[in-house]
Amino acid sequence: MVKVEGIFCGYDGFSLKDISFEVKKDEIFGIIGPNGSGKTTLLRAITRIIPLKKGTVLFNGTQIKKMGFKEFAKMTGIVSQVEEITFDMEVDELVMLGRIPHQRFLFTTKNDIEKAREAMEITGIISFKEKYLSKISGGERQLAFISRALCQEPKLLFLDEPTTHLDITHQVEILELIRRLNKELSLTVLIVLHDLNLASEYCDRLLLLKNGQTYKIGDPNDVITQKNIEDVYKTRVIIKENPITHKPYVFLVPK
Amino acid sequence: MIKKFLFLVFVGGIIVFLISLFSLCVGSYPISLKRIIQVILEGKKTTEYTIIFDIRLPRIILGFAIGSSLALSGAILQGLFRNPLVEPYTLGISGGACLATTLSILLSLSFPLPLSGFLGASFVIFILYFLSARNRIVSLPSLLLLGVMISFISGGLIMLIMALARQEDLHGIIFWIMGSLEQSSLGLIKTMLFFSILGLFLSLPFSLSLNAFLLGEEAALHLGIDVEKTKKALFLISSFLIGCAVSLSGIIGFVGLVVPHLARSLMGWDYRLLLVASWLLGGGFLIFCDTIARTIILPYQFPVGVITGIIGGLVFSYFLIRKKW
Repeated sequence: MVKVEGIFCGYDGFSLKDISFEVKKDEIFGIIGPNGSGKTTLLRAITRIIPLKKGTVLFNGTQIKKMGFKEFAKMTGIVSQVEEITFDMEVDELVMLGRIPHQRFLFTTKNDIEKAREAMEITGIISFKEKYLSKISGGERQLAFISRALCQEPKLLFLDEPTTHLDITHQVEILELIRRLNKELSLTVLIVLHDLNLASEYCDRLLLLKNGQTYKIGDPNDVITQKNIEDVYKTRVIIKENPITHKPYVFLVPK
Repeated sequence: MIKKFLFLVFVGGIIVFLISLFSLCVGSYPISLKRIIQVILEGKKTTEYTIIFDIRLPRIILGFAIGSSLALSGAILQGLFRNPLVEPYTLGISGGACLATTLSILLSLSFPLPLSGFLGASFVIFILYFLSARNRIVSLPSLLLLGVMISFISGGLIMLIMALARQEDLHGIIFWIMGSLEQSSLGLIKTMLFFSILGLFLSLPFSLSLNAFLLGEEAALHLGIDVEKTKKALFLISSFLIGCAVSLSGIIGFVGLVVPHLARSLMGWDYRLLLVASWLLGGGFLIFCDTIARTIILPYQFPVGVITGIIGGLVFSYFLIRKKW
């Protein structure tokens, strides 16, 4: 679905070098790596925020730089690391903003309202749709932003560390939702995650970055190994198998 | 949404019409509503006819054009910069217009003052645009900071000019800076009204983009907005309106800051309604303030900027305390 071919890009002395990978349809593809390794930069490059110096990004075989902004927005939904709003608004109003790529000027159609309602029902926030964003918790806010992205009717969802600043309950709630969206709506997901254990549990494949370069791509069992993690993060760890899910689990070893 | 939009235009239009009627009636020579209708029907060039059609009506039209332009620009800029404190004068365009006009007064140039002001404003727009656009990408924080710096520099230079100005010129400079709707050229008044309406129609297609901008530039791009094109177009529309308004009427403060907030508290943040609401409310607000300015202590007339500042500040504080937004 998304094919990244040899991209180079960056800013202020940092650059991504020769990154190539493919996100297959219906998979959850995770990008992991230490702070400053280029995870967010890579996501910003794929989503057209940062121009590419070299290489191409293809979406269903079409170069994304040749796609119109609206055309791209109708097929992809993006939830950024920090989502801010200037003027406080109600949850349903925020979600409705996701219809902008489909709207024309003054017209909010019945279909728009229905899509917004569906998005809020899927994420389970319909019960507080009339609450102001300033009056809900961080986890609920994140769900509202995911609903806004779903309202765009995307085929591909980009998420940049959606569980940052959330407690474990909300972390699991958000990632379970993403898994459900992936399974039930056939939504392909490209997600940047900080937490290696969450990445291991919820992603089908992982890309591990080190200093702006690809270190390893593959199944969590192949990527989250003691050697890889210690080499990239420069921290001692022990990797064990989660007894229930049989996915690799990272234990820190204090110095 | 369309029903809400039409309701807004209808109700807003009626309010502006009523304020205008009130403004036509009151003044140092009060004329009753009944008498106004009679004068219009008779169509004779009486003193009352002259007062209504040559003095008060042009002033009302200019008040509407200036107020609506400033409020519309304020609403656009607050959305574009995602900053509720940005107002038309923050960008330094008014500073440029003021500086050019004061220079024109000081040097006794034969230029009409509005033309000097417009040239000054255009010069600042040109500087702002090219300095803040690197690699064809307009940086909003740079634009804002440059604007604030230009405001400071022009403020300093205006004070220097005032220190050097002759006594008779000083009075003219101060009154021009304080803002006034006394404009004798009907042609300029009509042009300003045309630009105000044009500004509204040019900015309305960007209302969905402005909604997306509330979430930030990146989020707007994610929602399919051509961010750079939008920034450039909205900057040019709003700065052109500000330039025209300041050139014609000097600095009329608070309209561009307070009115968009009032409109937001009445109609919500959706720019599809907010632009029209700010435009109508801005026009009505300035006509009302000007009516107060010219009638509060008869036969004196205060600069309208003084009244907009006082009324605007009080209303703004009231809403702020009640946390209406």
